[in-house]
Amino acid sequence: MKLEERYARHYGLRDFGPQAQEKLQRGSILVIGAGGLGCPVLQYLTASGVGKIGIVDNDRISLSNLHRQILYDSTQIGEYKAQVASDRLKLLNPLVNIQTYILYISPENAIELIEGYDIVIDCTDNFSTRYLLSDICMLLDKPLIFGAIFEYEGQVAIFNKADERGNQTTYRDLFPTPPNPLDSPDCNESGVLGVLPGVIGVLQATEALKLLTGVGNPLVNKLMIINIKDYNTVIVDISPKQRVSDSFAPSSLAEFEDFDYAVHCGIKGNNVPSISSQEFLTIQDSSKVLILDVRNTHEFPKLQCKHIQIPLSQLSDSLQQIDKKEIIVVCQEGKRSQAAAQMLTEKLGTSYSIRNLEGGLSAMTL
Amino acid sequence: MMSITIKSYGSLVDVLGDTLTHKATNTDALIDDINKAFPKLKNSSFVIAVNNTVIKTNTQLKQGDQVALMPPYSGG
Repeated sequence: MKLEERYARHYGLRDFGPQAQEKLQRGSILVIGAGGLGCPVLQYLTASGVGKIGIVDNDRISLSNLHRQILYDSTQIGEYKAQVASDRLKLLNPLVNIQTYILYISPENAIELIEGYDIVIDCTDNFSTRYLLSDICMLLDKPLIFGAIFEYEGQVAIFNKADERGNQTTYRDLFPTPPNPLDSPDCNESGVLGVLPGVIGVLQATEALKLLTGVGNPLVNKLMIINIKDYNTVIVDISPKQRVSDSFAPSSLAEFEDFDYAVHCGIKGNNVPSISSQEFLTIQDSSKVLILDVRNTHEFPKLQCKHIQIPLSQLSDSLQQIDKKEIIVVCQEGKRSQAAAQMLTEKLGTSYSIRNLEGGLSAMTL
Repeated sequence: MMSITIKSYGSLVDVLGDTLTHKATNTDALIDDINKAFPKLKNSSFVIAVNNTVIKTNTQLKQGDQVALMPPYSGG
Protein backbone atom coordinates (compact mmCIF):
# COMPACT_ATOMS: atom_id res chain seq x y z
CA MET A 1 0.00 0.00 0.00
CA LYS A 2 1.26 3.50 -0.91
CA LEU A 3 0.71 4.89 2.58
CA GLU A 4 3.02 2.29 4.05
CA GLU A 5 5.63 3.07 1.44
CA ARG A 6 5.45 6.83 1.92
CA TYR A 7 5.84 6.57 5.67
CA ALA A 8 7.98 3.40 5.68
CA ARG A 9 10.79 5.03 7.68
CA HIS A 10 8.29 6.21 10.29
CA TYR A 11 6.58 2.81 10.38
CA GLY A 12 9.91 1.13 10.95
CA LEU A 13 11.15 3.60 13.55
CA ARG A 14 11.50 2.32 17.10
CA ASP A 15 9.03 3.99 19.51
CA PHE A 16 7.16 5.49 16.53
CA GLY A 17 5.58 3.02 14.11
CA PRO A 18 2.08 3.01 12.56
CA GLN A 19 0.48 4.07 15.85
CA ALA A 20 2.37 7.37 16.00
CA GLN A 21 1.86 7.87 12.26
CA GLU A 22 -1.88 7.52 12.76
CA LYS A 23 -1.76 10.19 15.47
CA LEU A 24 -0.04 12.54 13.01
CA GLN A 25 -2.74 11.84 10.43
CA ARG A 26 -5.46 12.67 12.96
CA GLY A 27 -3.67 15.89 13.98
CA SER A 28 -4.12 19.43 12.75
CA ILE A 29 -1.66 22.30 12.96
CA LEU A 30 -2.02 25.99 12.14
CA VAL A 31 1.22 27.66 11.03
CA ILE A 32 1.25 31.45 11.41
CA GLY A 33 3.79 32.91 9.00
CA ALA A 34 5.23 31.27 5.89
CA GLY A 35 8.62 32.98 6.01
CA GLY A 36 11.99 31.81 7.28
CA LEU A 37 10.63 29.70 10.13
CA GLY A 38 7.39 28.77 8.38
CA CYS A 39 9.03 27.24 5.29
CA PRO A 40 10.86 24.37 7.05
CA VAL A 41 7.99 23.89 9.52
CA LEU A 42 5.51 23.51 6.67
CA GLN A 43 7.76 21.27 4.60
CA TYR A 44 8.53 18.80 7.37
CA LEU A 45 5.02 18.69 8.79
CA THR A 46 3.61 18.05 5.31
CA ALA A 47 6.23 15.44 4.49
CA SER A 48 5.60 13.76 7.85
CA GLY A 49 1.90 13.34 7.11
CA VAL A 50 0.13 15.62 9.60
CA GLY A 51 -3.58 15.35 8.71
CA LYS A 52 -4.47 19.02 8.30
CA ILE A 53 -2.14 22.01 8.02
CA GLY A 54 -3.27 25.63 7.85
CA ILE A 55 -0.99 28.36 6.43
CA VAL A 56 -1.64 31.96 7.49
CA ASP A 57 0.38 34.62 5.68
CA ASN A 58 -0.43 37.82 3.85
CA ASP A 59 3.04 38.64 2.50
CA ARG A 60 4.34 38.35 -1.01
CA ILE A 61 7.68 36.79 -1.94
CA SER A 62 10.57 39.22 -2.35
CA LEU A 63 14.09 38.60 -3.60
CA SER A 64 15.66 39.15 -0.16
CA ASN A 65 13.49 36.31 1.21
CA LEU A 66 15.09 33.66 -0.98
CA HIS A 67 18.32 33.16 0.96
CA ARG A 68 16.30 31.51 3.72
CA GLN A 69 12.70 30.92 2.62
CA ILE A 70 13.33 27.73 0.75
CA LEU A 71 9.80 26.96 -0.46
CA TYR A 72 10.09 29.78 -3.01
CA ASP A 73 12.10 30.41 -6.16
CA SER A 74 13.31 33.33 -8.25
CA THR A 75 10.38 33.12 -10.69
CA GLN A 76 7.83 33.69 -7.91
CA ILE A 77 8.78 37.19 -6.73
CA GLY A 78 5.62 39.15 -5.94
CA GLU A 79 3.37 36.11 -5.50
CA TYR A 80 1.58 35.36 -2.23
CA LYS A 81 3.71 33.13 0.00
CA ALA A 82 0.71 31.23 1.40
CA GLN A 83 -0.50 30.36 -2.10
CA VAL A 84 2.91 29.31 -3.47
CA ALA A 85 3.63 27.32 -0.30
CA SER A 86 0.25 25.61 -0.52
CA ASP A 87 0.81 24.62 -4.17
CA ARG A 88 4.26 23.22 -3.38
CA LEU A 89 3.12 21.34 -0.30
CA LYS A 90 0.19 19.68 -2.10
CA LEU A 91 2.71 18.25 -4.57
CA LEU A 92 4.98 17.14 -1.75
CA ASN A 93 2.20 15.19 -0.02
CA PRO A 94 -1.29 15.07 -1.56
CA LEU A 95 -2.56 13.13 1.47
CA VAL A 96 -2.35 16.24 3.66
CA ASN A 97 -5.32 18.61 3.83
CA ILE A 98 -3.67 22.00 3.24
CA GLN A 99 -5.72 25.09 4.10
CA THR A 100 -4.56 28.45 2.76
CA TYR A 101 -5.36 31.73 4.51
CA ILE A 102 -4.01 34.78 2.67
CA LEU A 103 -4.55 37.28 5.47
CA TYR A 104 -2.94 38.88 8.51
CA ILE A 105 -4.03 37.25 11.73
CA SER A 106 -5.84 39.79 13.91
CA PRO A 107 -8.12 39.84 16.96
CA GLU A 108 -11.06 39.86 14.55
CA ASN A 109 -10.19 36.59 12.79
CA ALA A 110 -7.87 34.75 15.21
CA ILE A 111 -10.52 32.91 17.23
CA GLU A 112 -12.22 31.42 14.19
CA LEU A 113 -8.88 30.49 12.60
CA ILE A 114 -7.36 28.81 15.65
CA GLU A 115 -10.43 26.99 16.96
CA GLY A 116 -10.28 24.45 14.15
CA TYR A 117 -6.72 23.27 14.94
CA ASP A 118 -5.02 21.19 17.65
CA ILE A 119 -1.74 23.13 17.75
CA VAL A 120 -0.54 26.59 16.69
CA ILE A 121 3.02 27.30 15.55
CA ASP A 122 4.35 30.85 15.86
CA CYS A 123 6.55 31.51 12.81
CA THR A 124 5.92 35.25 12.78
CA ASP A 125 8.45 38.08 12.63
CA ASN A 126 7.00 40.72 14.93
CA PHE A 127 6.14 41.19 18.59
CA SER A 128 2.55 42.31 18.13
CA THR A 129 1.59 39.01 16.46
CA ARG A 130 3.62 37.01 18.98
CA TYR A 131 1.71 38.59 21.89
CA LEU A 132 -1.57 38.15 20.03
CA LEU A 133 -0.85 34.42 19.54
CA SER A 134 0.26 33.94 23.14
CA ASP A 135 -2.93 35.57 24.46
CA ILE A 136 -5.40 33.80 22.18
CA CYS A 137 -3.75 30.41 22.61
CA MET A 138 -4.05 30.84 26.37
CA LEU A 139 -7.69 31.88 26.12
CA LEU A 140 -8.54 28.97 23.76
CA ASP A 141 -6.22 26.54 25.60
CA LYS A 142 -4.27 25.62 22.46
CA PRO A 143 -0.63 24.52 22.67
CA LEU A 144 1.63 27.12 21.05
CA ILE A 145 5.03 26.22 19.63
CA PHE A 146 7.10 29.38 19.71
CA GLY A 147 10.19 30.07 17.61
CA ALA A 148 12.13 33.30 17.11
CA ILE A 149 15.51 34.27 15.68
CA PHE A 150 18.12 36.99 16.00
CA GLU A 151 21.28 37.07 13.87
CA TYR A 152 22.93 33.74 14.84
CA GLU A 153 20.65 32.78 17.75
CA GLY A 154 17.25 31.17 18.00
CA GLN A 155 14.66 30.55 20.72
CA VAL A 156 12.19 27.66 20.88
CA ALA A 157 9.53 26.99 23.52
CA ILE A 158 6.13 25.36 24.01
CA PHE A 159 3.43 27.34 25.81
CA ASN A 160 -0.14 26.54 26.92
CA LYS A 161 0.58 22.87 27.37
CA ALA A 162 0.35 21.33 30.83
CA ASP A 163 3.50 19.63 32.11
CA GLU A 164 3.40 16.56 34.37
CA ARG A 165 2.55 18.77 37.35
CA GLY A 166 -0.31 20.44 35.49
CA ASN A 167 1.54 23.76 35.07
CA GLN A 168 1.04 25.82 31.94
CA THR A 169 2.94 28.91 30.88
CA THR A 170 2.62 31.59 28.22
CA TYR A 171 5.04 33.88 26.40
CA ARG A 172 4.07 36.51 28.99
CA ASP A 173 5.60 34.33 31.71
CA LEU A 174 8.90 35.11 30.00
CA PHE A 175 8.24 38.65 28.79
CA PRO A 176 5.12 40.04 30.52
CA THR A 177 4.93 43.13 28.34
CA PRO A 178 6.30 43.92 24.89
CA PRO A 179 9.73 45.59 24.70
CA ASN A 180 9.99 49.26 23.88
CA PRO A 181 10.07 49.36 20.06
CA LEU A 182 12.82 51.98 20.21
CA ASP A 183 15.11 49.47 21.90
CA SER A 184 14.00 46.21 20.31
CA PRO A 185 13.17 46.95 16.70
CA ASP A 186 10.12 45.04 15.71
CA CYS A 187 11.20 44.50 12.14
CA ASN A 188 12.74 41.38 10.81
CA GLU A 189 15.24 43.68 9.19
CA SER A 190 18.59 43.06 10.74
CA GLY A 191 20.79 40.43 9.22
CA VAL A 192 20.24 36.73 9.76
CA LEU A 193 22.27 33.74 8.63
CA GLY A 194 20.11 32.01 6.04
CA VAL A 195 20.27 28.59 7.66
CA LEU A 196 19.25 29.84 11.13
CA PRO A 197 15.46 29.85 10.57
CA GLY A 198 15.98 26.44 9.00
CA VAL A 199 17.53 25.10 12.21
CA ILE A 200 14.93 26.72 14.47
CA GLY A 201 12.00 25.88 12.19
CA VAL A 202 13.02 22.23 12.08
CA LEU A 203 13.11 22.24 15.89
CA GLN A 204 9.60 23.72 15.98
CA ALA A 205 8.40 21.02 13.57
CA THR A 206 10.11 18.41 15.76
CA GLU A 207 8.26 19.69 18.83
CA ALA A 208 4.97 19.56 16.90
CA LEU A 209 5.55 15.91 15.96
CA LYS A 210 6.42 15.13 19.58
CA LEU A 211 3.28 16.83 20.89
CA LEU A 212 1.01 15.05 18.40
CA THR A 213 2.52 11.59 18.89
CA GLY A 214 3.62 11.67 22.52
CA VAL A 215 7.07 10.46 21.46
CA GLY A 216 10.01 12.05 23.32
CA ASN A 217 10.12 14.97 25.76
CA PRO A 218 8.85 18.21 24.25
CA LEU A 219 10.04 21.63 25.46
CA VAL A 220 6.92 22.25 27.57
CA ASN A 221 7.53 25.20 29.93
CA LYS A 222 11.13 25.37 28.75
CA LEU A 223 12.93 27.94 26.63
CA MET A 224 15.79 26.68 24.50
CA ILE A 225 18.32 29.11 23.06
CA ILE A 226 20.79 27.95 20.44
CA ASN A 227 23.70 29.92 19.04
CA ILE A 228 24.72 28.42 15.71
CA LYS A 229 28.13 30.09 15.75
CA ASP A 230 29.40 27.77 18.46
CA TYR A 231 26.37 25.52 19.18
CA ASN A 232 26.19 26.98 22.64
CA THR A 233 22.78 25.76 23.78
CA VAL A 234 20.86 26.45 26.97
CA ILE A 235 17.48 25.19 28.15
CA VAL A 236 15.85 27.14 30.98
CA ASP A 237 12.73 26.24 32.97
CA ILE A 238 9.81 28.67 32.94
CA SER A 239 7.39 28.72 35.85
CA PRO A 240 3.83 30.05 35.79
CA LYS A 241 4.12 31.48 39.30
CA GLN A 242 3.02 35.00 38.55
CA ARG A 243 -0.14 35.16 36.54
CA VAL A 244 -0.47 37.62 33.74
CA SER A 245 -3.02 39.83 35.45
CA ASP A 246 -0.46 42.60 35.89
CA SER A 247 0.58 42.62 32.27
CA PHE A 248 -2.52 44.18 30.70
CA ALA A 249 -3.26 41.07 28.68
CA PRO A 250 -6.88 40.47 27.63
CA SER A 251 -8.53 38.12 30.12
CA SER A 252 -11.53 37.04 28.04
CA LEU A 253 -12.34 36.41 24.39
CA ALA A 254 -14.49 39.54 24.35
CA GLU A 255 -11.56 41.62 25.64
CA PHE A 256 -9.25 39.94 23.15
CA GLU A 257 -11.45 40.87 20.20
CA ASP A 258 -11.25 44.54 21.19
CA PHE A 259 -7.51 44.50 21.94
CA ASP A 260 -5.21 46.64 19.79
CA TYR A 261 -1.85 44.83 19.63
CA ALA A 262 -0.15 47.56 17.62
CA VAL A 263 -0.87 50.05 20.42
CA HIS A 264 0.04 47.45 23.06
CA CYS A 265 3.43 46.97 21.39
CA GLY A 266 3.98 50.71 21.00
CA ILE A 267 4.11 50.65 17.21
CA LYS A 268 0.93 52.64 16.79
CA GLY A 269 -0.42 55.43 18.90
CA ASN A 270 0.07 58.87 17.54
CA ASN A 271 -0.81 59.44 13.96
CA VAL A 272 2.59 59.94 12.41
CA PRO A 273 2.10 61.22 8.86
CA SER A 274 3.57 58.98 6.22
CA ILE A 275 4.89 59.53 2.73
CA SER A 276 4.54 57.05 -0.12
CA SER A 277 7.56 55.73 -1.99
CA GLN A 278 6.42 57.54 -5.15
CA GLU A 279 6.24 60.88 -3.35
CA PHE A 280 9.55 60.17 -1.64
CA LEU A 281 11.26 59.78 -5.02
CA THR A 282 10.04 63.19 -6.12
CA ILE A 283 11.28 65.12 -3.07
CA GLN A 284 14.27 63.12 -1.87
CA ASP A 285 16.74 65.53 -3.49
CA SER A 286 15.10 68.68 -2.14
CA SER A 287 17.58 70.74 -0.12
CA LYS A 288 14.81 71.64 2.37
CA VAL A 289 14.28 68.04 3.40
CA LEU A 290 16.38 66.06 5.85
CA ILE A 291 16.36 62.35 5.04
CA LEU A 292 17.05 60.43 8.25
CA ASP A 293 17.99 56.75 7.97
CA VAL A 294 17.43 55.03 11.35
CA ARG A 295 18.76 51.62 10.32
CA ASN A 296 21.98 50.21 11.70
CA THR A 297 25.03 51.21 9.72
CA HIS A 298 25.69 47.73 8.32
CA GLU A 299 22.30 47.40 6.64
CA PHE A 300 21.74 47.35 2.89
CA PRO A 301 20.80 48.80 0.47
CA LYS A 302 22.55 52.09 1.26
CA LEU A 303 20.52 55.18 0.52
CA GLN A 304 21.65 56.87 -2.69
CA CYS A 305 20.22 60.31 -1.95
CA LYS A 306 21.74 62.84 0.49
CA HIS A 307 20.89 61.74 4.02
CA ILE A 308 22.12 61.32 7.58
CA GLN A 309 22.15 57.98 9.38
CA ILE A 310 21.45 57.61 13.11
CA PRO A 311 20.51 54.10 14.26
CA LEU A 312 17.22 54.10 16.16
CA SER A 313 18.86 53.04 19.41
CA GLN A 314 21.07 56.18 19.37
CA LEU A 315 18.49 58.62 18.06
CA SER A 316 17.30 60.10 21.36
CA ASP A 317 20.91 61.02 22.22
CA SER A 318 21.66 62.52 18.79
CA LEU A 319 18.91 65.10 18.28
CA GLN A 320 21.49 67.87 17.79
CA GLN A 321 22.29 66.38 14.37
CA ILE A 322 18.83 67.32 13.12
CA ASP A 323 19.30 70.63 11.34
CA LYS A 324 16.17 70.97 9.19
CA LYS A 325 12.52 71.45 9.97
CA GLU A 326 11.25 69.01 7.39
CA ILE A 327 12.27 65.44 8.09
CA ILE A 328 11.54 62.13 6.39
CA VAL A 329 12.49 59.09 8.45
CA VAL A 330 13.32 55.86 6.62
CA CYS A 331 14.22 52.27 7.51
CA GLN A 332 13.92 48.88 5.84
CA GLU A 333 10.25 48.06 6.36
CA GLY A 334 8.81 51.27 7.77
CA LYS A 335 8.34 50.10 11.35
CA ARG A 336 11.46 51.44 13.03
CA SER A 337 11.07 54.68 11.10
CA GLN A 338 7.50 54.96 12.38
CA ALA A 339 8.68 54.52 15.96
CA ALA A 340 11.45 57.05 15.33
CA ALA A 341 9.09 59.56 13.72
CA GLN A 342 6.74 59.23 16.68
CA MET A 343 9.56 59.82 19.14
CA LEU A 344 10.91 62.80 17.16
CA THR A 345 7.44 64.35 17.00
CA GLU A 346 7.17 64.10 20.77
CA LYS A 347 10.66 65.49 21.40
CA LEU A 348 10.86 68.20 18.72
CA GLY A 349 7.30 69.46 18.79
CA THR A 350 4.87 70.60 16.15
CA SER A 351 7.09 73.22 14.50
CA TYR A 352 8.78 70.31 12.71
CA SER A 353 7.24 68.39 9.81
CA ILE A 354 8.14 64.76 10.45
CA ARG A 355 7.02 61.98 8.13
CA ASN A 356 7.64 58.27 7.88
CA LEU A 357 8.48 56.52 4.59
CA GLU A 358 5.63 54.04 4.40
CA GLY A 359 6.75 50.44 3.87
CA GLY A 360 10.39 51.52 4.11
CA LEU A 361 13.03 50.96 1.45
CA SER A 362 11.64 47.48 0.79
CA ALA A 363 8.52 49.04 -0.68
CA MET A 364 10.67 51.00 -3.12
CA THR A 365 12.57 48.05 -4.54
CA LEU A 366 9.52 45.87 -5.18
CA MET B 1 30.42 38.50 48.34
CA MET B 2 29.58 35.79 45.88
CA SER B 3 31.22 35.67 42.48
CA ILE B 4 28.55 35.17 39.82
CA THR B 5 28.98 34.35 36.14
CA ILE B 6 26.70 36.29 33.82
CA LYS B 7 26.02 35.03 30.31
CA SER B 8 24.37 37.38 27.81
CA TYR B 9 22.29 36.57 24.77
CA GLY B 10 21.12 38.37 21.65
CA SER B 11 21.72 42.09 21.41
CA LEU B 12 22.80 42.22 25.07
CA VAL B 13 26.16 40.75 23.98
CA ASP B 14 26.87 44.08 22.21
CA VAL B 15 26.60 45.87 25.56
CA LEU B 16 27.83 43.35 28.13
CA GLY B 17 30.03 41.04 26.12
CA ASP B 18 29.50 37.30 25.97
CA THR B 19 30.19 36.55 29.64
CA LEU B 20 31.32 38.53 32.66
CA THR B 21 31.75 37.83 36.33
CA HIS B 22 30.47 40.04 39.11
CA LYS B 23 30.08 39.92 42.86
CA ALA B 24 26.54 40.19 44.20
CA THR B 25 24.32 38.60 46.86
CA ASN B 26 21.02 38.74 44.99
CA THR B 27 19.65 39.32 41.50
CA ASP B 28 18.22 42.79 42.19
CA ALA B 29 21.62 44.03 43.37
CA LEU B 30 23.30 42.34 40.44
CA ILE B 31 21.04 43.98 37.85
CA ASP B 32 21.36 47.32 39.63
CA ASP B 33 25.16 47.12 39.45
CA ILE B 34 25.14 46.09 35.80
CA ASN B 35 22.78 48.93 34.90
CA LYS B 36 25.17 51.38 36.55
CA ALA B 37 28.25 49.91 34.89
CA PHE B 38 26.58 49.67 31.48
CA PRO B 39 24.22 52.66 31.05
CA LYS B 40 23.35 51.51 27.53
CA LEU B 41 21.46 48.64 29.11
CA LYS B 42 18.92 50.94 30.77
CA ASN B 43 15.88 50.36 28.52
CA SER B 44 16.67 46.80 27.49
CA SER B 45 14.09 44.09 27.98
CA PHE B 46 15.35 40.73 29.16
CA VAL B 47 14.43 37.74 31.28
CA ILE B 48 16.77 36.53 34.03
CA ALA B 49 17.56 32.87 34.64
CA VAL B 50 19.55 31.61 37.62
CA ASN B 51 21.11 28.20 37.12
CA ASN B 52 18.81 27.55 34.13
CA THR B 53 15.56 28.51 35.84
CA VAL B 54 13.74 31.71 34.91
CA ILE B 55 13.17 33.92 37.96
CA LYS B 56 10.60 36.66 38.37
CA THR B 57 11.37 38.02 41.82
CA ASN B 58 14.57 38.95 43.64
CA THR B 59 16.59 35.77 44.16
CA GLN B 60 19.49 35.08 46.52
CA LEU B 61 22.74 34.16 44.78
CA LYS B 62 25.49 31.86 45.97
CA GLN B 63 29.10 31.41 44.95
CA GLY B 64 29.43 30.05 41.42
CA ASP B 65 25.81 30.66 40.37
CA GLN B 66 25.21 31.11 36.65
CA VAL B 67 22.97 34.00 35.65
CA ALA B 68 21.66 34.25 32.09
CA LEU B 69 20.20 37.46 30.63
CA MET B 70 17.96 36.68 27.66
CA PRO B 71 16.21 39.35 25.57
CA PRO B 72 13.15 38.68 23.42
CA TYR B 73 13.75 38.00 19.71
CA SER B 74 11.14 38.89 17.14
CA GLY B 75 12.71 37.61 13.92
CA GLY B 76 11.19 34.79 11.96
